[in-house]
Amino acid sequence: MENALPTLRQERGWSQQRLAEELGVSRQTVISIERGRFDPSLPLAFRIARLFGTSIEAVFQPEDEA
Amino acid sequence: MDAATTDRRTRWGRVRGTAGTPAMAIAIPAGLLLAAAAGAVSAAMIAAPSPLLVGLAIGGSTVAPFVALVWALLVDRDSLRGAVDRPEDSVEGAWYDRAAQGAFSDTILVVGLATAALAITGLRIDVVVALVGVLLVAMGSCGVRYLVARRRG
Repeated sequence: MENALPTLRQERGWSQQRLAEELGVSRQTVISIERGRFDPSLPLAFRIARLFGTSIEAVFQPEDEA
Repeated sequence: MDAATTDRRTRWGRVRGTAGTPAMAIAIPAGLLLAAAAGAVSAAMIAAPSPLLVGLAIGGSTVAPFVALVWALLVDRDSLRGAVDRPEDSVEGAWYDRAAQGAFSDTILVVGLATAALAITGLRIDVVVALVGVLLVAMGSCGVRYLVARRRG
């Protein structure tokens, strides 16, 4: 799954550690999501979208639609 | 989790349900007691030229596992420094789940093949050896699979 997490994070000037603390997950989780190697659970995807004030679709896109 | 809670976190954490009792303050003496009991029971039950030596060896070698066991049972994970608020959403949980699923399949496969081999050859092995073997296969498979998943990121 493609995602805009690195862009959204960098727009806020946040480190991966800062984002992980905001979401209550490990830094490795953020790294894995950004690399597209880990698809977050639905609750985590909602938290990410809410944190950046956007929708899930704006953050995550299926690879065939990206 | 608020900053005050985060500041109260310690390396070894606190006992669940207490105001602030360090987990190690309970785990170490309890582990020592359990190890001493294991050593005493071993010395009394195992027939050996030197029961005292057997008791010391068993007691000494089980101190660390017993301390770790008591600590794991008592500690409040939220009081550990570096613990994440939502471990169920972290990638490490997904790695463990995948590793455990794979280890289950590996264990079934190995036990099946070993059972077939023993049935065909007529060999007989001690039950304790067999159970230790199953345990090692399951733990080894889970550990290796977890490390591979972590390496892949």
